Amino acid sequence: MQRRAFLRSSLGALVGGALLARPARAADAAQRKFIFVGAQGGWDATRVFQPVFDIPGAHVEPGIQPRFVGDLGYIAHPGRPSVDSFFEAWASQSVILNGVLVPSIAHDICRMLVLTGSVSGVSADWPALIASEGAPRVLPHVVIGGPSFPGDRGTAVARTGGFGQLESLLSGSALDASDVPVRAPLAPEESLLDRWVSRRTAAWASAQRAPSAAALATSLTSSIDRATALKELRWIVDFSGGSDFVSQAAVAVDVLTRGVSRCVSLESGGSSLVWDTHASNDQIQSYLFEDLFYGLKQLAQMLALTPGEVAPTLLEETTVVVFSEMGRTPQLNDADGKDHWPYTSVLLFGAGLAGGRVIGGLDQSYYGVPVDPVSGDIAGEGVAPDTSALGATLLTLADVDPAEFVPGAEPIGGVIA
Amino acid sequence: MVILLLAACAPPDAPPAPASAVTLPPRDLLVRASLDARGVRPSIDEYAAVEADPAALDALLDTYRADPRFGTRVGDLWSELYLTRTDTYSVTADSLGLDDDRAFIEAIGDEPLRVLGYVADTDLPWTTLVTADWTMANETLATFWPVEYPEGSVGWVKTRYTDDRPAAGVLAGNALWWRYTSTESNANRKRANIISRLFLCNDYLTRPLEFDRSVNLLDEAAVADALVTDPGCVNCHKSLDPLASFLFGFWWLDNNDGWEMAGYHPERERAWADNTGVAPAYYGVPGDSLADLGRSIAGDERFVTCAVEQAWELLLRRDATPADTNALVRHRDAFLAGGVTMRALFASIQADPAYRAGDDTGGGVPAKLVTPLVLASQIEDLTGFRWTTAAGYDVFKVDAAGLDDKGTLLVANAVGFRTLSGAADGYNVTATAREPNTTLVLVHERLAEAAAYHVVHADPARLLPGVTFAETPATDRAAMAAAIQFLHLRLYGDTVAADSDEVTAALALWEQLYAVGADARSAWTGVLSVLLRDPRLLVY
Repeated sequence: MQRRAFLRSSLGALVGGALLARPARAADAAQRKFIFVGAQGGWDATRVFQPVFDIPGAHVEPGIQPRFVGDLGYIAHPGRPSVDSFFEAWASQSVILNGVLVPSIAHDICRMLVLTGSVSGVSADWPALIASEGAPRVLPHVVIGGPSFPGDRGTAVARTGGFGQLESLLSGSALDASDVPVRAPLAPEESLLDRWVSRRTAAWASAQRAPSAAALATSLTSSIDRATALKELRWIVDFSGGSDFVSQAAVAVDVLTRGVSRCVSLESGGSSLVWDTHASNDQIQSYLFEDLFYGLKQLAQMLALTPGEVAPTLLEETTVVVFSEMGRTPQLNDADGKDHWPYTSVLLFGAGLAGGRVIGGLDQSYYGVPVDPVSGDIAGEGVAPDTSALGATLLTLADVDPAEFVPGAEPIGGVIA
Repeated sequence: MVILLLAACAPPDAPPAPASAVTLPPRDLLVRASLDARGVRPSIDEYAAVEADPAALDALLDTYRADPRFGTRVGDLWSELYLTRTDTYSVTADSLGLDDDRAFIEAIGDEPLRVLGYVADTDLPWTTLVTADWTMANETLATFWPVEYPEGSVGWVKTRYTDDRPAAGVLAGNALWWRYTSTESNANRKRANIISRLFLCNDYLTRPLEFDRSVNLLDEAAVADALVTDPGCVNCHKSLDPLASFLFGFWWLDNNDGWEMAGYHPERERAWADNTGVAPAYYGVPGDSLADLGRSIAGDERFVTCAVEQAWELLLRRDATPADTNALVRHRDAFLAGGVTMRALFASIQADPAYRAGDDTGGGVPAKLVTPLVLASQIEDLTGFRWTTAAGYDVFKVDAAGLDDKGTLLVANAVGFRTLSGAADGYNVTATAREPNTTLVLVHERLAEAAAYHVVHADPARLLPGVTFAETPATDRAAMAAAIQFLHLRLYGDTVAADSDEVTAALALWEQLYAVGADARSAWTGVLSVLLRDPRLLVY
């Protein structure tokens, strides 16, 4: 669906739709929801996902050992018990993608690449595309934390702010901390004012003739409708969350189960580049991975215990994408850190996946290995999965034709059930 | 952003781009130019002047560009490219003995933007950005950076570093390198690319990287050799690495030690020898100090063309296209003829048919979205309300991340709406929004409500002349209609009749609001707030 068609979609029934009782049935791809969990700074995939025992010269963290749950292999360490307990519980619904090429080693560019597949700076990211291509929702893509590249899908994307800013805007409490004493209107007043603004803006928009001006006007009227719908939802949804991952995940689960959003972005480790371990790599990465998987465990449990919109549980209709914008070098540097590496790993779990397996890997030179486009098995020839293939995979999981957004890219074989 | 650079390779007689078929009405053009050059809307007198004589427009635009707010606008515009207004640095205020995180964060990010603003305001050549022997600092920066700062002063002043660092404008300022740090393996290459991106419009990082499988990336020596022999590597590193070598005076042993990072380190200028082994040079021309780099950039034709393209894209709020080539050439010529001053460049672009377009013909931009700072500044100018919290911190310039010690403010949940209103934070959001979204609408709403409340309760004569709050439509409709007529004139430059639909509808709303609480001030606050929420304050 093109952007304008998306914007013309009716928003009238959004709030009502979010509150309807739902039948329990299997979710198809068009109904699938997504949670994106970013780990900013570049994780060291060899701590959990990518074995390097047989790669000469690669630093092997003391104390690690390979472990399998079914066919899914990962790296275990006594200091990361949450990694074990996560995979013990959810390996059958998880896929690890190793050796994914992100063709840069600069944070900004890698973030753009892993989320959009390009460096154009104008492409919308996977969650924005998936969210805006789905059924109309109040807040198609809500960004609780982490990067966002809305591209031309800006009206579908909204940030909550790190400290409840969205909630404070919805309630009007944003004005309470003003140095100059001011107050928001009373509820009956606010309703009158919002209706006035909506009418006047619609009238203004209908008068815009130039195509680019009309597009801007359409975006504005659509955004006003969404803002009004959100205000009604604030009585049942708390967008404020907290500063820790688990409480933010709770917000994500809430907006997904209520049908407010199709995609949610979260961040593990905080907003700065905490995963960027140019020094003390082993200690910091170990802590961060334990923290991440502790949070993922909680998230998975919440999803499994929460009703879905169409499926019995939210986990059965939600795919969780856990990623970092780059990997790290195989060897330690002089500061016991690791520098940037253009191959990373991605963890997927939840709905729509051929779970319980690892796809891809690194060769003896630490380059990604090719995988078979159908089976996902390691192949002798071909190309390693890259960010475009990752995008094609995610879009396909969401029932969005990847050809329109990542021309030439094919989904990574063996990922999709 | 390479259109003008590519033009040098194009046939000299490329056909001119088609002119826009429709030009904005003078009043709308006045609004556009005023917001772009001053961040505020035209005055009633200015509207009247162009209504009476459209030919007065260009003279008015000259006064806008001569306005003291011009420099601030230039700094704000270029903040979208510098991305120094961010929320976190590798150094915390606490580590420097400061207890005010937000003053610390705001001050660092603004250093280079204040330099830009001063250069623009004082008609210095744009090349001053990379050659000046001075910087800008405020009282916060002066507490931890080695700068001269008049005792007892408050605010931003032109000043100098006291550690004898080279004269290289913003290249020699701390802020750029506090924002863009480096690592041992990166060896200032990221910083060199920032210089290339900001001043030459050449972003190495947008080039796709081809990793040659024949190179063993696990072998440090092989990698080092590839950087100077492998064609895929040499393409960038041959020019990037020598640029990076100019920057070792900002080489720090500890990226978290603010005191070490505060000073320039001339003793480390030659540390490139132990890192990359590549001597400083500017595209093949050897250099020695950061001042050499600044002079080289200032003398590079690309510096001028880059500034032109940046200004064009920032003012039109769209990317340059090949169809813009002729226009960009004209503006470059005007920029040069005008002494490479930003005012000359603004004047040339603001006279361009594309800038003045009323429709989409010829690549014009008939409507564009305000930036969050322009939204805030125009409402402040109209109402006197500036949305600050905790004694003066602007919620449009500071987000809340990392401010854990401001507990009381976080409880209030009202700190920082910059990214929610569409601005970049340099990390999670790297581009300013060009179309509205839900949170911008909400920010606009709350800002308008607050500003309206402030005017009605603290300064009613400013926008409601003649209103006593004792009148109602039943007792004195004429006075109330006159106030609404005045608001239309002041806010939009519209002359509306007392019996127009606009006035009638606003009075009807007033009565509905008055019915809620029988409070005339609340009713007027509501009416004013919706007029401030008009789409014309977002799209111009």
